Amino acid sequence: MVRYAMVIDLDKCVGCQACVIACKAENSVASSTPDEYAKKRLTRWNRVITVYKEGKYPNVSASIMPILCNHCENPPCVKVCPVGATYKREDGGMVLQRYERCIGCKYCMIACPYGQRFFNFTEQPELEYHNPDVPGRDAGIVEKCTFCVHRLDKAIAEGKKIGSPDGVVPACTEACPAGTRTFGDLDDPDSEVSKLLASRRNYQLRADLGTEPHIYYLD
Amino acid sequence: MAFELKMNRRGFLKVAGIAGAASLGYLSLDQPVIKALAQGTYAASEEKWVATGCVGCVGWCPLQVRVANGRAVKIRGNQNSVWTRGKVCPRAHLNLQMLYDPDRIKTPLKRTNPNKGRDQDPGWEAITWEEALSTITLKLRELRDKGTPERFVSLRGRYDSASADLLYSRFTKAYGTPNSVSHSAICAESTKAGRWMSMGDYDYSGYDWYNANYIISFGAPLLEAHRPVTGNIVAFGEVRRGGKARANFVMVDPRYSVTASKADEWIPVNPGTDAAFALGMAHVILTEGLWDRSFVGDFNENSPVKGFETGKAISEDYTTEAGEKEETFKEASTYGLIKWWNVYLKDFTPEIAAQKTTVPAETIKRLAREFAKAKPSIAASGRGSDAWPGSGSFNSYAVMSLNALSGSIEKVVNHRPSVKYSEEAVKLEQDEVAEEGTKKQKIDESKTKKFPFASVVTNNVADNILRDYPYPVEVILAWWSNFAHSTPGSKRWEDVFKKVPFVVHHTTHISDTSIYADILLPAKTYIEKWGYGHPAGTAGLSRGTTLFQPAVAPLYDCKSELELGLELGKRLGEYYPSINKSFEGIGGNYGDTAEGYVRARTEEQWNAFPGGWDEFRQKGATNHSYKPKTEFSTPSKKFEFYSSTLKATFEKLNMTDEDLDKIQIKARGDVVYVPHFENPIFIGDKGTYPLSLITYKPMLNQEGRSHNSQWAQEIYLPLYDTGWTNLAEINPETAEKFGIKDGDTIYVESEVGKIRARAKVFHGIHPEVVSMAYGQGHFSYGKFAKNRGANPNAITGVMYDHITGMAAFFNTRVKIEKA
Repeated sequence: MVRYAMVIDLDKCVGCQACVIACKAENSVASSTPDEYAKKRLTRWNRVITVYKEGKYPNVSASIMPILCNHCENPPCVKVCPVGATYKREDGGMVLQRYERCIGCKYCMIACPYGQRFFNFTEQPELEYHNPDVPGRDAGIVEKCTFCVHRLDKAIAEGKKIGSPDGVVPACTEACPAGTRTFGDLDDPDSEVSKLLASRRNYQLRADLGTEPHIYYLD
Repeated sequence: MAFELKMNRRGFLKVAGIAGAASLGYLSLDQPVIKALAQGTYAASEEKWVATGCVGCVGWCPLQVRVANGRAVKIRGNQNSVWTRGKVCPRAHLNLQMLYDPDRIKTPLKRTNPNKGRDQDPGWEAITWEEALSTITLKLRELRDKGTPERFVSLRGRYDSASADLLYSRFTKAYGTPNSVSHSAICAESTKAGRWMSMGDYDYSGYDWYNANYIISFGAPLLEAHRPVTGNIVAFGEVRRGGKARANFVMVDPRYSVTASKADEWIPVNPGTDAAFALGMAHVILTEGLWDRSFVGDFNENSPVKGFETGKAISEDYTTEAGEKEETFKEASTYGLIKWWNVYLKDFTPEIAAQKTTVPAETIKRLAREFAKAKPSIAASGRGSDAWPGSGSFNSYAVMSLNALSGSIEKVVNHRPSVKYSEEAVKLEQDEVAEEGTKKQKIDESKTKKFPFASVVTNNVADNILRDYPYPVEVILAWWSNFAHSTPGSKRWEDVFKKVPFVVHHTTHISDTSIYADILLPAKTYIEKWGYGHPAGTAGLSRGTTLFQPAVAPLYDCKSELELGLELGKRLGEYYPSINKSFEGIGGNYGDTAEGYVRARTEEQWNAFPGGWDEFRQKGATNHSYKPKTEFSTPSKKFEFYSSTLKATFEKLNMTDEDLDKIQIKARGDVVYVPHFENPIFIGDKGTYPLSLITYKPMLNQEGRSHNSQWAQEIYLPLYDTGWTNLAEINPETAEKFGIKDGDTIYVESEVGKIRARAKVFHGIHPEVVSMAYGQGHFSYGKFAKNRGANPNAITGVMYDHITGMAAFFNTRVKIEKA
C-alpha cells in the first residue's frame, strides 16, 4: 500500500513562501481581502510561521516553519465528521474532503490540532488564473490541503512516476527553490522520504497526540 | 469564460448531490463521473507550457507558464535553466495576479483635468494608441525643432535588456537627449563600487555559494531581496545540506531579518559601521598572518620585516647585502597592500572597530580567524552597508578587500561575464540636433565633481528639474518607474510631475506617479511581451540568457516598452531622416517588430541550438559556463588595495579637499584611495531625533510592484505573521522609553516629514533604530495597494553616496510618539 508523506528540511527553508503562493495558484485557494484578513478569515492550506525562542536583544533566535495538513495516519478530523465528508483515502493515505457532502459544521476544524482546515466564509469568485484541474468550492464548507491529489492521480493515469526527486510531487514541493521538501511513499524503503528519515534526526508535530502525522521535519 | 467555469462548478455540485441521493449512499470521488466533474471540464482540453522569463528583478529568471485554454494558470521555474536549477523565487508566481489584475490600465488614457495633485481627479478619458502616440510625437517634435531635445527626459524603472538597448539607449540617442535616467541609483550603484575601485569593473558580483565554506554578509539581505533572488535561495538550500561540509553563514545587520534568522550567527551593529567591522577583521587577518599567500603574496624571504605589527609602518622596500633594492612584500595578484597598511590599516585595530560597531573586539577577532581559515569564504556587501551618504562606496570597498585577503576573488567572488548579443541590424545615426543635444550636460550632474563616477544620479534629477538646472525640462516619459513612491524624499517627485508641462507614464497600474501624468500608456506585464536578458551576478558558476516571449495573448490594448520604442522611432522617423535610419530595418531579416528585434539580437544565442530559433523559443534559456579572470581592469591589472581607478577619476576632475568636503568624504590624502571607514552621517540632530530610520525590502516587495497582489499582501511580513501593512519596528527598551506598546499607532517623524504606522515591539531590532519595510504606503496603485501601511521614503532625507550617485536610504534620524 502506498502511504504518501512529506519531509521538510527546516535547515534549508528560507521562509520565502514560494510554497504558499504555489499552493494558492495550484489549488485555486482564495486570497484574503484586507477586511477578511483583519477578521482572520484566511484560507491557508500551506502557510509559513515563525517560532521564536525566548531571548532578549541581541540573543534572538527564530525558526521559520512551513505548516500544512499532516495527512495523519490517525486523523481526528475524520473521526468527528458527522456526515462522512472527510475521509482518509486508502490508496495514498491522503486525508481528503468531499466538498459536496460537507455541511460546514466546523467540527473537524476544532478537532484538528494543527489548525489546517479552513472554512469558506464567502462565495469565492472564479478567476482567470484558477486551475481548471481542481473543483471550485462554495461558501459554507470546509476545505484543506489534498497533497495535490489531482496531480498525483493524473500522474498515475499517465503512468508517470510519483515522488521526489524526479517524479510528480505536490505544487509546494515542486516550487520550493531551496529544495526544502521531499515527497514520496513511506512504505517504499527506497523512496527519498524513507532514505531521509532513516538518515537524519526528525520529528512530527505533536506526535504525542497519537495522530501519526505524515509530515516530518528535519532541523 | 469565467462564467462558464462558474456554471461547471454549480453543475458539479448539483450532479453530485443527485448522484448521492440516488444511490442512497455516498459515491466516492473515485467514481468516473464524479472524478471527471471534480476535475472540471477544462482538464481534458488544450494546454501547454510556454517558456518565458520574469522581469521582477535583474535576475531575469527563466520561467515556464502553464497555459490552459489560452489562460495562464501556473508559473514554475524553467527546467532548462542550469543556474536557477529549474526553480524560481516566490515573486515570479505573482505574475499571474499581476496579469489578470482588474486594476490594470486597459487602454491609453488622457488627463482632462489640468490641475494636478493627490486630491485631484485626473478625469481620465480613454483614447486610442493612435491619438496617444501622435500627441507624444508632436510634443517631441516641438522640442527638437526648437533645438532643445535635451528637455526630454526618459525615466526608466524595471526593464529587460531589449528595452534597455532600444528605448533607453538607442531611442534617446537618435532623438538627441543625454537624459536617459534609470532607477539604478536608488538600487545598487554603491554596491558595485567596491568591485570598481578594486578591480575596475563597475558591476555586480556573483557569489559562488556552492564552493564556499563561509559566508559573511554585511547588510546584504541575501535571502530576501539581494539579486539574484532565485540563485541565492537555491544555492542556500544546497550549501546547507548539499552533501559537502555545511557552509557557515554570518549576518551583520542592525535588524534581525529573515536572512539573519537563517544565519548561524546574527551580529547587530551600530547602523552605518559595517566597514569598521570589515576593516577590524582585515587588521586581524594581516597581524595574525592569515592572508591567502597565493592571491596576496608574501614577505620577501630575505626581508628584515616578516609580518604585520599593529601600529608599525612597513618600509615598501629594503636594501640587500649586495646593495640592491628589493620589495619588502611581493604581491601576487594584488597591488597596494603595504600602502594600505601604512596609511590606514595599521592603526585600525579590532578595538577601534569594536568602539564603532559596539561588537566586542573578541567577536571581531574570532570572525576574522574563522573567515580567513575556512576558505573559500565570501564577504558580501549590500543595501544595508552601502546605501549610506558619503561613505557607501568605501563601505563596499572595505568588504570587497576581505575577499582579496582570503583569496576568494575569482574563486567564489566572481565577475559578471558580458553576454554577446548580435549587432543591431542598422547603425545608430545622429543628425546635428542629436549630436548637439546628447553632448549637453546630463541633468543628473553625473560625472561632475558632485558625483565623480556616477553613471546616473536618479534622485538628483528631481531637484534639478525643480530648479531648472542646467535647463528646464518640458517632456517626461516615465516607464515602469514610480519615483513618487520609490525614492528618498519621494514628495519632491510629485512636485516634478506637477511642474513639467507634459508627462507620459507607461506602466501597468495607475501608480503614485501616474496620477500626475498627462497621458497614461498601458504596459504589457512580463509574461505578455518579447525581450531578452542575462542575469546579474549569479550564485553559481554557470549562468545564461533568458528569452521573454508572450505566454498568452496580451489581455488589453497594451504595448511593451520595446514596442513603444519601435513606434516612437518609426513615427519620429517620418520627420527626421537620421531617426528613420536608426530604426528602419532594426529587426534585420525578421521584421521591425518586437519579435523581429528580439530574434535578430539573439541570433548568436539561438544559432547555438540545432533547432535554431524554434528550439530557443521552446527551451527559453541558454546556459553558459564561467571563465575566471586572470587579470583585472585596473591600471596595475591587479586587485588594488590602493585604488588608482578612483584616484584617476578624482584627478581628472581636479578634486580638491574642498570638493571632498562637499561630497561628504572626511578622509584626506592617500587614505581616500584605500578601504577606510567614514563615520556615518545623518539628517537631523540626535537631541531632537534620537533614533535612526532603517528600511528594508521584504521578499514579496518586488520593488514596490507587488502591492496590489493579494498573494503578496497577505503574507507580507513572515517574521511577524503580518500582512497588508508594514510596521514601525522598535526594540522593547526603546518602546518603554517612549511609552509605546506593541500594536500602538505611532508617528515616526524626521526633519522631512511624519508618517503614521503601527508599532511592532521586537527584540531583534537595535535599540537606536526604527526599522520599516519598504514598498507599502502607496497612495495610488490599485484598490488593494492603496493606503496600506506607510511609505518610509516620504520621511527619508535626500543625500547621496556621491562617488556613485547612489541615494542614501539610512541617513535619517527620527523621533517617535504615540499617535
